Amino acid sequence: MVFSLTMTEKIEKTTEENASDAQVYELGYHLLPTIAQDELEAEVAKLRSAIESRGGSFISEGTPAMNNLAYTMYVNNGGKNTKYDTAYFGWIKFEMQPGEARMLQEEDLKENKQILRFTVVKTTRDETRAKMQTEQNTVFREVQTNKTIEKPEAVKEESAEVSEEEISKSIDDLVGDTESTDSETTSEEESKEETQE
Amino acid sequence: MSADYFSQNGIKYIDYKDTEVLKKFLNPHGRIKSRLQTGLTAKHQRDVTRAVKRAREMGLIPYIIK
Repeated sequence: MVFSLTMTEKIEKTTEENASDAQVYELGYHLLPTIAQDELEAEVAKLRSAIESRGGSFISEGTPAMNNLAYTMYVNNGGKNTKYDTAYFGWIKFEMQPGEARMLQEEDLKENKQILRFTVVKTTRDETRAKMQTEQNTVFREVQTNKTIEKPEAVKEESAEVSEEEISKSIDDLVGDTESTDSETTSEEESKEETQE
Repeated sequence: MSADYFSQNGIKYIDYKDTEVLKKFLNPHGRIKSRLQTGLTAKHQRDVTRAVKRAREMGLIPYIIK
């Protein structure tokens, strides 16, 4: 077993690692609101050329748009603060070697006076923006609001033919029952009266 | 256990630019809500925290709301 690698092997290995080490980054930036709309494209082109010169390959991009800042930002220009409440916010997603990405920030972006503020973050190649901003796609807890409570169907009374005899019979039965109960109560009352006397 | 907001909506990456999503996890003062209030998984809570801090630095959402 030989543990030590020869010099050429080592170099080959490091170059291979470098190729696979390329990382996807996203540059988010605020350009100064003092830039005119016509010059905006030229400023973005400068950023692109800076990324390209450091061996970066572009993946996707968000065009800069005027944006109200959440708080006032101050830039110190020779002992004097300049206030900014708005800026053009845009972003570029690209792939680059980590060392180059660091140099891009230190040497290109920090030196660019037209950039109010920037950030470089590691990200993924896929689309990262949330797609559920519309209400149609949002999933809320399922509440069945559209369902109406169904009325129970009215039970139709069957109209069977009944003969007159049967009716009179049933009436007699009912009347007979009430009479019998009445007679019972009256007899009880009578007996009570008798005892009182 | 019901799934958290990001699992429900199929969001795999919490982006600092999605301020409307991030604002759901801020209280009226602009502070990040606790896990008890958000109901997120530990991982998603960390991701939200990171995204909120990035968005604050970039002036997309405020540090404090008075």
